[in-house]
Amino acid sequence: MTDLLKVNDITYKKNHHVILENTNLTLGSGHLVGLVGINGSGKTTLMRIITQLNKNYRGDITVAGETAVDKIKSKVSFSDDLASFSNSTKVDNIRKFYCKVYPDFSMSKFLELINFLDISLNSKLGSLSKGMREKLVIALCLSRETSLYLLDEPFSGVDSMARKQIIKSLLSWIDENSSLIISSHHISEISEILDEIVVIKDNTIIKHEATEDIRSQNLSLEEYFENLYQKEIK
Amino acid sequence: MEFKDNTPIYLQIEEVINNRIISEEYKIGEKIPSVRELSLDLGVNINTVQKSLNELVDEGILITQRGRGNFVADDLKVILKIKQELVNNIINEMYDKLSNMGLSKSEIVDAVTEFLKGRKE
Repeated sequence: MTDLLKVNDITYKKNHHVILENTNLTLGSGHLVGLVGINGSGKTTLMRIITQLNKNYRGDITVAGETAVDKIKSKVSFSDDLASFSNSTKVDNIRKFYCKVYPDFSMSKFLELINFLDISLNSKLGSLSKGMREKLVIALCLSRETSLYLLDEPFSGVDSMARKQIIKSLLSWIDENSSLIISSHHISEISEILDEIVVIKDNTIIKHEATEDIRSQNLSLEEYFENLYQKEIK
Repeated sequence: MEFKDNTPIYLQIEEVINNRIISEEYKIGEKIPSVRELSLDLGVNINTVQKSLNELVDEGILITQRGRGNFVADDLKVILKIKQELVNNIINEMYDKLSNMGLSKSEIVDAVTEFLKGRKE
């Protein structure tokens, strides 16, 4: 079986600051992966590099066997923060935009998802609560039929009821041919749905583990994560 | 469903399924929900659910029928074995707690006997 994602020796600097250095990661398909690290550790940067939004990196990215920028873009769906849409834009117009830009955008998937997540096509973006807006971001991201889905902090500002609803939609939307990476600085919120976690620290990926292997050492994912950071505090 | 985060979840799922068999929510010889349905129902990763089912198949508690899904073994002995295991687990946990408090074996027996007398009346 070929790897779904290969991050090969990526180094990325911004204004002479090293954000990521010699970073490597290999992922198979059919996984829900948590990307964890404290704020500012480079989680979003890594996602943007995989999606080819940040371009001036050193190293190679391969997604589903593709290495060319345009081909990779067609294999990765990254959660859009919707910042380019005005508050008066209707959900249905955002949908139309997505249909135009992404040939793999599935209308039926999207309608099913927003119905499940209680979002109306007629709502204006500005009228959505923070949690509703996050749900819309997730619905748009998951509605593309592609290989790799990247959700950047999907639970910020989402209450626990909505979180449970979103988690169900994540569990049911990923199949054996795709994988989903979710970044979070609050891992206990999502630990049960993850089968792997990737930890970023000191500008690189320091761990990539099966979640059940961590639990079999009688550690919760949160304890495991905290232990990795605590070494430095003392 | 709430799971403990510091114990492998596949083991906890096995326990959930065993309990459902004992309580006859899943009946002897009948089909249990699919991996995907269980993943949604329990709110856990599909690969983790698959691992639990594989273990239960290995233990002879579930039988996989190609293309049809997983069935509870049509064998009363298997069900009795699960029941015995669950009972052992509970007693084991109780024993550990009481012996950690410094109770001897006979004190534990006395305590349980007293308790049961109290329950009956």
